[in-house]
Amino acid sequence: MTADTMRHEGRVRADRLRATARLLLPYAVFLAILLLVPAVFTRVPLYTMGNGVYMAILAIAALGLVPLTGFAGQISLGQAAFFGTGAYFSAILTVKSGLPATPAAILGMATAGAAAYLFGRYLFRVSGHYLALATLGLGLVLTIVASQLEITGGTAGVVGVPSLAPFGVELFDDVSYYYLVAAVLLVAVVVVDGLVRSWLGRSLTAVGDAPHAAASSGIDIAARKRLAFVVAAVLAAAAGSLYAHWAAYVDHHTMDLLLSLQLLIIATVGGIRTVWGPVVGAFVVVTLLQVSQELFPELSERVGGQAEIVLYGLALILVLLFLPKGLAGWASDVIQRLTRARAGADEGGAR
Amino acid sequence: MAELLQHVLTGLGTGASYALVGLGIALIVQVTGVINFAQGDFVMLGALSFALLAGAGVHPVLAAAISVAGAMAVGALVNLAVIAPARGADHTRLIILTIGASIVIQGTALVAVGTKARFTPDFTPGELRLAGVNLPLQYLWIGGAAAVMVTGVWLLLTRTLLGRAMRAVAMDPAASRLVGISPRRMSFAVFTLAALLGGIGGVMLAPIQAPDPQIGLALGLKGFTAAVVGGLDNPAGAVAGGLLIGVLEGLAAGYLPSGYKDAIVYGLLIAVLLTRPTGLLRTIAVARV
Amino acid sequence: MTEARLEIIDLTVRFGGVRAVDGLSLSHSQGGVLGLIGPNGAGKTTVLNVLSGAAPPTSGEARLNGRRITGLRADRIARAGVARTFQNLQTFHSLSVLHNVLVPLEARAAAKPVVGLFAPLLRGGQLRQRAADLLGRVGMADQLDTPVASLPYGARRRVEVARALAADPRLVMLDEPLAGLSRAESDDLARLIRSVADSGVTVLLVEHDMVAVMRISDRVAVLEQGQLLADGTPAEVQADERVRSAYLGDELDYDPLLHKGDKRAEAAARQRVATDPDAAADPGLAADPDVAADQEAAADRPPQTTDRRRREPRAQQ
Ligand SMILES: Nc1ncnc2c1ncn2[C@@H]1O[C@H](COP(=O)(O)OP(=O)(O)O)[C@@H](O)[C@H]1O
Ligand SMILES: [Mg+2]
Repeated sequence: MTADTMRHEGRVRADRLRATARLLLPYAVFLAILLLVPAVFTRVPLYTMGNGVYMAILAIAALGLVPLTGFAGQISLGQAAFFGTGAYFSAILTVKSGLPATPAAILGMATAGAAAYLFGRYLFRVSGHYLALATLGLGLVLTIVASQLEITGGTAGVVGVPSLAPFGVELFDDVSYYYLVAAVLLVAVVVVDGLVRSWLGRSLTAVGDAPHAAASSGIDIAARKRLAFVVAAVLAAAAGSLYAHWAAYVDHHTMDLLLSLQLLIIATVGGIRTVWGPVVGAFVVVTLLQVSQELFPELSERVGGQAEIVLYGLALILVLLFLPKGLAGWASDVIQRLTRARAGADEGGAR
Repeated sequence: MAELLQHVLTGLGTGASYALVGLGIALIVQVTGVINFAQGDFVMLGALSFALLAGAGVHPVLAAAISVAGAMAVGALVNLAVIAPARGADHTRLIILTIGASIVIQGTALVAVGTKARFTPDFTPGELRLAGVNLPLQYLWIGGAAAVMVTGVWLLLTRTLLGRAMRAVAMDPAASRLVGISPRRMSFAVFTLAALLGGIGGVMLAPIQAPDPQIGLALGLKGFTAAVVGGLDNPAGAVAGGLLIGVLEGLAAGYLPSGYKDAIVYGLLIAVLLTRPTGLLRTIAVARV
Repeated sequence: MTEARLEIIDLTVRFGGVRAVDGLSLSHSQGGVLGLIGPNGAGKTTVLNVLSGAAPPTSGEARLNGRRITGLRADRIARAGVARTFQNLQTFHSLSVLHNVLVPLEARAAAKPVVGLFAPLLRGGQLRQRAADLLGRVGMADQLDTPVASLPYGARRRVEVARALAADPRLVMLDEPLAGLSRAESDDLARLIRSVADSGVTVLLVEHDMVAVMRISDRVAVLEQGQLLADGTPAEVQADERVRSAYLGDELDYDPLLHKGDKRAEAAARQRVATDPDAAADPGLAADPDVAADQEAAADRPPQTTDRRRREPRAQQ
């Protein structure tokens, strides 16, 4: 071993320590915020505990877009379809078949994942932005089908989905349900963060950055995109299951295109290349929703309760034009610049 | 037999307007590489403003002119305000930006005029009677307008400097820049052109599909399907694709329970993307490396 | 390692009416450096694209050690032992230097059955070490953690070469690796290419720098309009009348005739990139030799390059 590589090893070890600290710090902050939400949301105007639950569910459903859209560059407008798959599976299997909630949810996630896998097998054979179009079509077809079939309850949907009782603890109100969805969100964030930081995330980045070079480096591009698509589908289905038990009913509006758009906006506005993006984005989007309903209640009524989509659209365009890395990406850049400036100042002082 | 012919002919009529929508999508993909999700909203703007103006008593010709001009202006604005400022953005970001533009256009229209569908009479009342078929004259209007527009686009692309410049950018942006063509200006031109096509398609459709602010989605999807059937960046293919899905939809409306009409078209979109994503009508294009 | 045996058999690639490659047949099994030259648009890059699976041939085929590679997916061809660099720089711009080279190493480790997905995790340290060694070989040892996007052009080219060498290829194809490098950088990289070839890896070198090609190649093939014009040792090719009249001019200079037309075009393009922010947005052009590197190279280049010519070329067999 040369002196050069030894010096390198030493530096690597010091870097690793610093990297671990940098990795864990956001998690500590995140955990603190998650725990603070109930105390805050039950006291301030504008927000309710239900908003907290909804934010966490939306964040889980949008999280899969980080590897899929942020890293592999593939746009999906079908997240709502998988969300709906999870929701319908949980609702139908618990209400009509009397299955316990957990296996029902797992079946829903598995079905969504399998569907995404099959879809991806054909779709990703050629490069291009075909996923956006295909998932848009898929979402609309599934919405129509769900409103027609008998098993999905037609346009009436499935009502009376039971509330959850993990470990015998009945989650009867929004506060207790919040702790469950927050825990699932935390796990989902860790899993997706682990994925994008691993060699798999690196190869996804390579696919998004320079597909031809990635292929010539031995990466099966279609397989990578498929993996990301499956992850996104499974997470959306999990969120859908949580939603079904929380809302207690599911109908075809549960998988409305509006939700797919919302999820894309959540991930993009928050920051599509970091797991913190969907979390921040969910907060922003639900806040916009609350604000628009607070400010223009009668307008919201007149246009079928969708006045807020103008705000969503504007937020999306503004963020993409001025903060392309999203709010979380921008914040992390600012923090990095500040710490680097401070480190520079420290060094200057020491000299 | 006459019934079948009836469905095919009305299908060709509506299909002609889908062809215009698809043509706009294909042109934008070809010149900029971006799938424009706001294309359906250009159509909606044309249709809705025509129905509103005509309903308010404006002379139909003037109403049509204003509506088409309005759609064009919005198309140009989308390019200037949303696409052009996103310098250095990759296609993924640009496509999401067009989704944002679509949401804003639709939402603004909703806030401005509400969710109500607007009815408007045919340009000229009456029907064409031929071999047992009764074809409302409106379908002939659509077919005629589409034929004129498609011919116009073809002439533009092959006979004019602007058209050749657009094609040059489509083939090789780097080389075009070397000979002094700005891809950015061509992007502006093609968005405006696509909005023109969408606006005309919308005006023609208004009497047939009473427009509301939310029809942009369905119309856009028909345009995507038309373009995808043709190969997404193949203008001629998009026109053929538009006619094809028009006929398919006409037949579905005639022989299937209602409600499945749209599902058939979306199903076709998915089926084509899964089996022949590069289009039914052409062979694969090769990316430059 | 056994020498790569490359066979190109009656290969044709058409783009619309253009025959980019027109019935090309070429075999090479003696290792070393095979230079592939020809004017701009001759079809050199297209040949590389077909051999690496980035573009399908219209007809004909290519084989590596007897196995047909045309028609295989690009990642399969990579696994069969073919690596390449790209004329228009294709680094993974959001990754660090080290991670750029780690990508092919991890892809190969993951390709093993059974351990599959976990191999890159379990052997992480080992793979990193190998990536660092490779980067040391191209002189990038002290910039392992630098984001590749912040590197100057020449350094990115070297990262790309290291990445191509990472997965122990039998055949490495380099598409104009010396373009846009300073004299010193160019000499270093040429030396590296030679040492790679001497270690038993076959190198297919597409390059406009005639002096370098003639110096480091063992065999040179000349392509014109998709067809093979000449083929032989550097000395033979330089002596070939058709080649001389068609490309090289009377004097083999650093900037021979074959360079002039497209040099001007390249300079114009660069000028535009520098002044037109819109142009810079296009990755194809933005990736071109950046202005600084090229001006540096130009300043470095003596007007008369006879001394370079006289420098003894490698012993030719
Ligand atoms: N993807 C493509 N589409 C259309 N024409 C192409 C494409 N790639 C290359 N060509 C054409 O093929 C010919 C050969 O190009 P290329 O292989 O890049 O030449 P070289 O690398 O020798 O300069 C040129 O005329 C070029 O314009
Ligand atoms: Mg080339």
